Amino acid sequence: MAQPVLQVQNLTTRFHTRNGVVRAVEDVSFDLNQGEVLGIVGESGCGKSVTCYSMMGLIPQPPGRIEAGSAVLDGQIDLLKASEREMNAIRGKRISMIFQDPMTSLNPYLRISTQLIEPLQLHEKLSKKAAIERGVEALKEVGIPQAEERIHFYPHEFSGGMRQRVMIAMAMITQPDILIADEPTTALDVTVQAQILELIRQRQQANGSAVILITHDLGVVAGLCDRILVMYAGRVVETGTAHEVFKKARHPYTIALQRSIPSLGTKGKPLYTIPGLPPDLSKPIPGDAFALRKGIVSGGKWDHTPPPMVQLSETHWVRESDCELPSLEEVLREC
Amino acid sequence: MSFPKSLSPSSKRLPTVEIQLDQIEEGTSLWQDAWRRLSSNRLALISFWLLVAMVLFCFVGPLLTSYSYRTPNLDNALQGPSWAHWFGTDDLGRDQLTRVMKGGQISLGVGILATTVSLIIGVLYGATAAYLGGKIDNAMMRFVDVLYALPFTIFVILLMTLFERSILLLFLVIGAVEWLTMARIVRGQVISLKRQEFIEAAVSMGLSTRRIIVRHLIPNVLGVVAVYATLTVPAVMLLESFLSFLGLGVQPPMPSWGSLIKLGADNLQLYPYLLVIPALFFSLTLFCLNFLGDGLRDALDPQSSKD
Amino acid sequence: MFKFILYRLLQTLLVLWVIVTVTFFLVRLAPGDPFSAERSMPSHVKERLMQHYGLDQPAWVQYGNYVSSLLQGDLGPSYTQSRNVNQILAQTFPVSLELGAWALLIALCIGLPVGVVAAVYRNTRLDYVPMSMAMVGICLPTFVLGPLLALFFGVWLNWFNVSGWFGPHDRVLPALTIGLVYAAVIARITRGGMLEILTRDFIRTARAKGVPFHTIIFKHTLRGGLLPVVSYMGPALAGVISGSFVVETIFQIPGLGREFVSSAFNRDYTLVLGTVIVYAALITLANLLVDIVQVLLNPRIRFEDS
Ligand SMILES: Nc1ncnc2c1ncn2[C@@H]1O[C@H](COP(=O)(O)OP(=O)(O)O)[C@@H](O)[C@H]1O
Ligand SMILES: [Mg+2]
Repeated sequence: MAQPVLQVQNLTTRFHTRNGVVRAVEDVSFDLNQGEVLGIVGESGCGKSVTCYSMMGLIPQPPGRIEAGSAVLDGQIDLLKASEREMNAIRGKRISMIFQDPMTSLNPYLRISTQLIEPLQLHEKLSKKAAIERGVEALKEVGIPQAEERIHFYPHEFSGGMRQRVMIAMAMITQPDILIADEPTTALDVTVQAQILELIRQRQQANGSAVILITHDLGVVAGLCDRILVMYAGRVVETGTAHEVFKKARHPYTIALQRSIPSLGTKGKPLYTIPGLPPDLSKPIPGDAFALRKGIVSGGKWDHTPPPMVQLSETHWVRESDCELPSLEEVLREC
Repeated sequence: MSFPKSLSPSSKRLPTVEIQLDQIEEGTSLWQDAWRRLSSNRLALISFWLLVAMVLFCFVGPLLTSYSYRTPNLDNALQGPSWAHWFGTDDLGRDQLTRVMKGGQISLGVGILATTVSLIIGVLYGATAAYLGGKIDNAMMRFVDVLYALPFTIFVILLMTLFERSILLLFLVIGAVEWLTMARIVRGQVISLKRQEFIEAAVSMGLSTRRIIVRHLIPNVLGVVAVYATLTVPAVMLLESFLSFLGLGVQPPMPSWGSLIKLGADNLQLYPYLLVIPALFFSLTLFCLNFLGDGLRDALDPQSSKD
Repeated sequence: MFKFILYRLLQTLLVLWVIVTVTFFLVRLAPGDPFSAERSMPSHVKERLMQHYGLDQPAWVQYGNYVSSLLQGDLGPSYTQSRNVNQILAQTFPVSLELGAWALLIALCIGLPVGVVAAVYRNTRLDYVPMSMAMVGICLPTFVLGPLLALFFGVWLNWFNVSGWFGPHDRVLPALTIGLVYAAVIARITRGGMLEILTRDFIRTARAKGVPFHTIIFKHTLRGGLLPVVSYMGPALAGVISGSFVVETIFQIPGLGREFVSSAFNRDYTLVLGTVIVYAALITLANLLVDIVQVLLNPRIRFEDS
């Protein structure tokens, strides 16, 4: 098999805050192959964003600290140890990123054109005129009408969905090898969500980029991803091909996430919600993190050490757990 | 030059819903928390105790000295600091220590009273505007805007020169200037609180209006008002001393730190102690008040804190 | 944009008119008159003087006369000096203007860079040290700092004259006195504004594009970060003016500020009005300018208003 574009190994990121050490990401490893779409799924606060910010060098330090691990691009450069200058050559050229909230992710004081063509000017040393031409093209590609005119608008003259399109155009304008999309549809209307996802897929296929798609909604990644990584409380709990994670899921958390997808649940029944809240990451978690959750029954087999990962197939790994999910009826009775 | 790593959007995280739900039942913990943060702020704490000392010095001190701040004693004029007169004597031979104390009474007193005046006007005005809302609110705030645009210092000086100067006029004039900001702040605070999630949550949880006002609105507005009031006192003292420096504030023989500094400024070539000592007291007080106000703000609103 | 400026210009004129009117009647309401200072003046002489200047007429007639001559650019005679008000202003205003310009220049040249550096390197020594000094600066108002500077650099070190306004040497202490206080305020405001922007999401976007550090500061942050400083320039100018009242007294500078204070004391009606008009025009025009710059810097207001 070809060399993965990105190999993340044992990534551990913590925040040393006044209220204790937040273990946001613990020992996370995964590979990203060329041109594939990898989904990272988990509830809010599971460390999905921190995982990606760590690779991009966007963790605020202090309070954050990358305690261990490596993230190797092309088998050559370790992103976690690269200098700021090296990172600036990689960010926006080799790896691009789009964010959750398109309303705040664009600079309101600068025209769209200025922001959109910045990667071209920085990384490809294009003249302003040539860059604007490419920018207009890029806007057209993401489906913005009257791009020649609108490129000179300010962000506040665009709707949320349109701004996310601009963000995608800006991220893809240099045809990066990797696109990281951090919950790109969470802040958008349901009707727009599908369009944006479709757009990401279409751009990805046109460019042949690999994509890391972060979401807290397993339903979002269903049709889109080749492989899926499920995270809980800063750790990977299950990873495999989309087929494996959807059809052969083993970890109770993955199963719980599946049950809470609206379209997959049996019609007419009320929606499943996972009982309890994710654990507080500012305290060390001694054993199986999922067992700490209120309403989850556990045999208590892993009380002191995190449960190990076991391999089920060449691509399918799962963290052991003896937790049992309550049935929908039980969850409803609790409410 | 590289990007300072500590700067990043995620370091300024929004409070999660859980925190706001906490506030619903524990309005008081807000204050306990604030107190804990304030007392861990060493500068603010030192400022607080220095201010207490300053108040004692100015208000109790004169009882302990055997001199009068007003009776001239020309034989004794312009003596440097000595055992008998720790801070020396002024141009009319009065004990400078006593006059610094008395001047402090005036400066601090005017500062606190005029702040109270501006506080009352500002809170009433701002809260009314926010409460009534709509067109009335609009009109009331336009009025404040118009007043803001006026060159106030000039009018203050005009008033103080043209009319018979009295402490009452001083209060009125200073109060009239300072209430504007207070009104704006209170209005903004009330309006934003009216919209805030935890108030809505409290409403939806069926807490009574009275309880919401007593447990949530008042404590939250009070915090901001307390902070701003602490910062208004030095602003008022500044204005008072500025006027007194120009000879437009408190009238002799009553001293104020401003007029004492003026005397020092007039005699700085030969009698620098007349300048340095009152200037020191005045600046130290301003310093403490500002630090205390900053500390209070950080304590009550950790999100707005500077770090 | 043009409409906006026109509208604001009209508003400015209205404010000016209100100020002139209020001041006019305020001055006349006050007890005393321009000639009461000289007690020895026989009453018939005084009456003749009053008549000569039209001060015996009803207030509204005086007001009408004043406004009509004002519209022709004539600010009237001074009642206590041999020069007329136009001449006095022409002599004293440039002095104050120069002083104020130096002061503002000092304030901006020190305050802006210090604030930017403190924000960028916050919670390091580059932040703590200058910001503590700024706090000290804020607690040393002009009337404290002025005499102290004069004492230290004038009397003890003997580097500068303690008073007078002759050579370029004499500009240093007065300009520093006013400038340093506002440098401190501007540094704090700049720091706050920059921090506000630096922690926004779009800065993260810029970093994710590989934008180098200095470009992030100069291109992405300064515009929004300096907006609070721009809106502070109105109050800053008003502050510099009131600072000039004090500083011109301390350093005995023949400027407009001293003229204003003494004319109010002397009930020199026309001179008071003249100075107030100059100050009011200065401040309201500055506010207008500030608004325009703000609109230019912030695209969002720009579109709401047009
Ligand atoms: N700047 C920070 N300081 C302290 N804790 C942080 C910071 N950023 C993130 N965290 C913590 O890290 C954990 C993971 O956050 P994140 O990766 O943003 O979650 P998500 O999976 O929703 O993207 C959370 O518990 C969060 O509170
Ligand atoms: Mg996230």
